[in-house]
Amino acid sequence: MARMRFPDKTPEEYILEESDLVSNPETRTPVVICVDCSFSMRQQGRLERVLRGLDGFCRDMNQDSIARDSVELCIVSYGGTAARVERDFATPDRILEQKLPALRANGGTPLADAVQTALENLELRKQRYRDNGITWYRPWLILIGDGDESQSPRELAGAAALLKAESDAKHLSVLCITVGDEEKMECASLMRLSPDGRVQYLRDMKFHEFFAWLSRSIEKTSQSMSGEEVSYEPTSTWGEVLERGRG
Amino acid sequence: MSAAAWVGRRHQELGVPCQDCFALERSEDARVCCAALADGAGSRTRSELGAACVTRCVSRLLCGEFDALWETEDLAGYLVRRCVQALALEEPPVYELASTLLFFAGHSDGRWIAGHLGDGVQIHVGDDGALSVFSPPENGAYQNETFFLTAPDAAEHLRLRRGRSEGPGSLLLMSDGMSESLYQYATGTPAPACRKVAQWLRDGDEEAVSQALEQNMKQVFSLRTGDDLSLAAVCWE
Repeated sequence: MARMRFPDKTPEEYILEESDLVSNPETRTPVVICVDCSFSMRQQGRLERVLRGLDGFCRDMNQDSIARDSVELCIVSYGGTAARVERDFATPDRILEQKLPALRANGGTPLADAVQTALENLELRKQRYRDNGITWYRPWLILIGDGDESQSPRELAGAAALLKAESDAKHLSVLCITVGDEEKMECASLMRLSPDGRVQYLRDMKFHEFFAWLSRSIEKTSQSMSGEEVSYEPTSTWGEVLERGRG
Repeated sequence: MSAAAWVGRRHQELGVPCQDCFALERSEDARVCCAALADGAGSRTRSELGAACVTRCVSRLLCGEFDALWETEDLAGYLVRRCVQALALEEPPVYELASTLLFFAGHSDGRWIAGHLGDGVQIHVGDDGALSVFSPPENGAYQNETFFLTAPDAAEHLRLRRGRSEGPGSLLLMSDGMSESLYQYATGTPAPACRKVAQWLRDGDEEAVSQALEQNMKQVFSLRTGDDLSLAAVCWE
């Protein structure tokens, strides 16, 4: 004899309860933004504009229901003789709570040190994720500057090799942004660091447009599902691609 | 055997069809049954067709040729080749039909063959309700990267197992959308719900359990993830 559809239970009794299920932590998207704080960043209010853009970026991230819990932002400054971690990895709301660091432009451009500092801090974060069973998407490293390495060309070569290796292994997405004068552009160091030899020249200092693009790109990453290759919007709304060897 | 699939919230919003697919098949003499499940790649344009094609292909092969496949030496390579041949008959290019694959085929004499390529999870539920991970997910470096049947190295990633049943039990095959709620990634621990689903299947009829699974996908699981959902459950004496 054929069995009845719900022999023992009503359909409602077949609905699982929350206590029957598990919750996995949101997959994180670590983002490190390295901001040039050398003396030249005083020109045309470049540093202030970077900070305003960062503030808008944190607010955008905080409004996206998935990115809010997924994105963890670290801010590294590089100016004078060394780089330093201004804000360790934290969700956008925490960064806004703490307020953005009051950065001041002064001294040289220790770009290689910025890369080393960013990578070291990123490695520590990834280890914390591992220790706590948290998964993560490919991290972003964004270098924003207006000048060339002023400390050590040898260290710059080492930093470039590290970034290339990380990028080729798909362990890191690297984005180099120059905000220098178009006529006397100094971006040879950023080009050297960029794994594909490309630097985005931020036309008319469109920080707002750049950070809005970055928000959308990171939101796409944090919403991506297994097996999905994330495609990003073109950067032509805010940048112009400068390539190694093309000047 | 029972199974269900449900289009995820994100695909609903975008008007994209469900890319998860399952197939339940029995041999003509009813001695072999097979459940297969595939999660189409989000990055490929017609992966829902690919998922449907490979689940159909694998389940028919296993039900039709179980004895021969049981003896086949390079079974992983053979199954991948047959799936890719079937995909090549579809209209879109094979590349656009990429998917993961999970399957389990059981013979009435106790022999079974199971396979798993990519993410998703297979959970074993013992007769006493004990839960264990039969086959964990295989992701790439990141959570949103996995392995597909259409890749050149697919046969290397198809984890194939053959064995003989040592008593009653159940197996749940699920895509990664379901495993977000039924599998704790950090510890590799199955959720208690797996035990309940296995119990439903032991107690209820197949159609009723399939309906219950679909209802849960609609009311419970789809609220916890934007991803497509699919689950196939098999139990044996």
